[in-house]
Formats: sequence, structure tokens, C-alpha cells
Amino acid sequence: MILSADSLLIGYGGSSSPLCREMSFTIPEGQCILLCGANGSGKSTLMKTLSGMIPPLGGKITLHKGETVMIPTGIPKVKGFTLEEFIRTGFYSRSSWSGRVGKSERENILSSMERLGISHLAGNDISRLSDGEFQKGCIASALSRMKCSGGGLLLLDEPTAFLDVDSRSEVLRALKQLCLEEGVSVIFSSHDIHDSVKEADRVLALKDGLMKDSVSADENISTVAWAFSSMSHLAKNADE
Amino acid sequence: MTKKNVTLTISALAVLLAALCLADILLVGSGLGLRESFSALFGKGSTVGRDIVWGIRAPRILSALIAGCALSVSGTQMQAIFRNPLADPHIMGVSSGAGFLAAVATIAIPSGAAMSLGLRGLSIAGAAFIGAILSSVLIIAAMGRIRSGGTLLIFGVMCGFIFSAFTSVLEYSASEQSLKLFYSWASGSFSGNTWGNIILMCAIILLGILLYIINAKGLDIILFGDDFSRMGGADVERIRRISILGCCLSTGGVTAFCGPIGFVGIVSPHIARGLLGTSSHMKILPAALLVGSAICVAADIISQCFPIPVPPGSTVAIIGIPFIIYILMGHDSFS
Repeated sequence: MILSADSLLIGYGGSSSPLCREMSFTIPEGQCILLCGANGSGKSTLMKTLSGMIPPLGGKITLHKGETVMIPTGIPKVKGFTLEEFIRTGFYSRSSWSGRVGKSERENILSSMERLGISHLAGNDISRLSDGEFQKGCIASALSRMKCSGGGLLLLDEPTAFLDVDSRSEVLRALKQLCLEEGVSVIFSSHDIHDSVKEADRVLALKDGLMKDSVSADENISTVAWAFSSMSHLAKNADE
Repeated sequence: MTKKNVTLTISALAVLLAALCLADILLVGSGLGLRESFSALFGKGSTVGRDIVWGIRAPRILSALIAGCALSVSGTQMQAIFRNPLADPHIMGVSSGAGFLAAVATIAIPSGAAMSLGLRGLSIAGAAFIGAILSSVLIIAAMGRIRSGGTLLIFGVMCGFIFSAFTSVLEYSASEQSLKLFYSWASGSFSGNTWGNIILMCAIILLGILLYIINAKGLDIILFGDDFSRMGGADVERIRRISILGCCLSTGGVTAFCGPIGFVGIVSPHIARGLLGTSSHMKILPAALLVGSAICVAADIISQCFPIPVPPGSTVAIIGIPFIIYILMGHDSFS
């Protein structure tokens, strides 16, 4: 098991009421999980809470193995950094004052780029990469950090937004492969329900402050249909 | 770019800067021929010649060099923390804040007061420094509430307008003598600094550069967004504060002794990034320092070439603004 959440309450602090309440679930190793729900249902907030970026309003998150790394949506492709330099900036807390990383960290960076098939782009300026290539670069950045701490949970907020159809399926396949071959688990949110539900082992859906967990792939479609009323025909088709 | 090319580019910039400094010290300004200047440079020739070269020209050129370094370091940092290619201390209102307090000091010291001109100048410089800190504190306070870099930039511009408006009100009620003293500072000039002033300015700015170096990898990661930085384990607020403190010291130091000088801060980081083909803050630092200094020394040379010397603050603007328009037209080196 990588992570477990117990009676989790999420939201931004202050006077606002929690976005979702009483969520309990566990994340085993090697699982690719789709997180779905309408805009504002709390997908990003849940991811930020799981990654430790914002504290939970209640309940408990226990990390059993490795670390959780989140790739936020819309990282800018700043001109003037090679792909390898970009990945190295993500090692802020592990690098020296001048930004140098150790030998094992560098090896993990190189092997992560190789795993995602982007080694040949290591010296290219990131502003010239396609959106799909850059997204894989971001995944390599997270993977290399997780390798340094022995695996963990990778969280991606809308990894396929702004991608064309081909890059979209490439990125989804890459995520699935990571789960199978690296033993890490992935939670990703997406609005491309049709494509992403195919690659997912499990679906977590958020609606009206509640969470539904598909537990296994058989219930994936009915879970998606629970979150989106316009998807109910899918569930009927699946039943037939 | 290969390591060899980087070294070559930086050496070329250093040679260019050295040539500009030499031209400035030997040729520029009236009253001394090339040969006289040359012998005065090595401590020979007439006393008048040595006084001109070592007492007037050398401090002026050193002030320009230091100002260039400070402004380029501040501009580079501000562009990173606001993620905006047009950010610099002048645009963010830091110079206007310094100008406002300098004006307050000029008015506050009565013209009849028994005070030497040097002391009077130094108190204006001190007030300008406090003004720079004051406007930076305003920006830091706003940073807690305003998350978007663009909005923060507009906030800075608005603060600058308010400070300028207050300054105008003060000018309106000032005596003729105070006005003259204020204007000689406010038009931006590298002349008239004593060696003591220069050492003080140098110390402040070295501290500013040190803060930049400590913060360089933070400035790199912050370009990729606050969330990405936090995931990498960076304390975004701390990076911003250190950076603003560094900018405040550097800009405050320069503005206090040379007056408000704009545009060097915007332009030099772009040129440095463009020349080296990288945005890594550690790598562009030497180039940014050299480019900033070269622009200031060049502006000094140009301003001394007119029949009556014009303030270099204006010359810098004349060189800088076309470049900024070029950046605005979409050729910026940042995104």
C-alpha cells in the first residue's frame, strides 16, 4: 500500500465549508486511477491535499511508501531551459545551493527520461517541445524525484488538457506503463472521460461533496455515470 | 551554447565594457586633450589634469558601472518573481518611491540651514533609500493579497503614479533653491559622487548581488509556477522576499546616489538571455552585469557628447525605450 486516507475532509480553510467530506480510501501499488467530477467538485483540491500542498480540514492521510508528487496544470514552457535543466530545477530541495544534483539523482533523471522515451530531447530548449513532449518531460521530472525516495504516488491535474488526440493517448499510455513497470501509482484528473476511463484501473468520482469509489475496473463506467448525469447512457450500455 | 562560446561571449562583453570605460575616461568631457588625459591616468601631467581624470571622470564612470550592475541584477530578479518580461524597479514604482522621499527631504531641509552641500546631498540620498524600501514594503504587502504577477505589476505602476503625484505636489510648494537641488538628483546623473559615496554604494550592491546568488536556483524554479515550485520543496514566499530585499538594496543604493535611472533593468536581462541562449539565473548573471554596466557607461558617454551635458537618466531612456517596444512587439526572450 502506498497511501491511505481516513475520514478525509478537504477544502480551503477559513469560513468556507468543506468541498468534500468523509472520504476514506486506500491506494495500493501500481494502480492507475482516474479522478473525475464536474468543475468545482474538488478534484484539484483533493490532489493538492494528498500531495501535502494544502492541509486537510479534517481526517488523516498516511503515506506508507515513497513520496507524493503532483504535477500541476499549465506549467509554462519557459524559453531558455533545456529539458534536462528543467527537470533539475524540480530537485530544488535536493540540489546544492548552486542547483547541482548528486550522482544518483542524475542517474534517476536520465533513466526517467529514457522510461518516457524522451532521452533524445534532453538537450532541447523546452519552449520548442510539443505540448505532448513537454507533458512527458513533466512526468519524467516527477518520476525521477519519486525514484529517489523509492516510489510513491504521482498526482496529475489535467495531464491531457490542450493535447491533440495522438499525444493524449500517448501520455495516457505512458502513465499506465509507469504503474505496471515502475510500481508507482497514479491519480489523474481529466475531462476526456471516454479516453481516460479506458486506461484507468479504478475511478474516483466526486459529486456534491461526496465521493464514489469504483474499487475495481468493472464498476468504472457506472462510477463515471454517477458523477455526470449526461453519461448515464454509458452505464446502461455497460449493463446490457 | 557550448561552454567555450559562453566564455567567448562573456569575454567579448568584458572587452567592450573596458573599451567603453577607457573611451569615457580619456575622451569624454571638455578641457583635456587625449594625451593629457592619458598621462593623468597614470598619475603624471598637470595637477588640473589629474584632478579632472581621478576626481571627476573616474568616480563618474565607477558610479555608472555600479549603477549598471545593480539595476540589471534588480531587473533580472523582478522579471522572474513577477514572471513578467517588463518588470523592473523603475516600472514597479521603487524609483518613484525613492523620488518622493528625496523630495520630502529637499523641502524639509530649510534653504537657510547651516549645512554643507555634501551633507545636504547625503541626506537626500538617505531619504531616497528609505523611499525605495518603503515602496518595496508596499509591494511585499500587496504580494500577500495579489496572486497574479500581471496584477501585481499594475499595482506597482499605480504606486509609482501616486508617488510621482505626491512629488509634484511637493515641487509646487518648494522654494527655488530646493527645487534646483531636487532636480539635479531627480534627472539621474552619475556625476558628483565622492569616493566615500562610491564605496558605500559598492558595499550595498555587493550585498544585493550576494542575495541574488543565494537565491538563483529559487528564481529558476519560480518561473515554472508557484505550485510547481512548492512541489519541488521551494518556499515561494521566502524566495520572493529575499529577492525583493535584494532589489530594494540594489535599487535603493543606486537611486540614492545617482537618481532614478530606468530601463537598464528591463533591457539588460533580455540582452543577456538572448546572447547566451539560456534563462538560468546563475548562468546569465555575469552577462547581465556586464551588459547593464555597458549600457550605463555608453549612456554616460552619449550624455557628455552634447554641447551642454544632458542627464544620463534621459539618455538611458532614449536608448532603452525602442528596445522595450521591440520586446512588446513579441520578440521577448522569456516566453
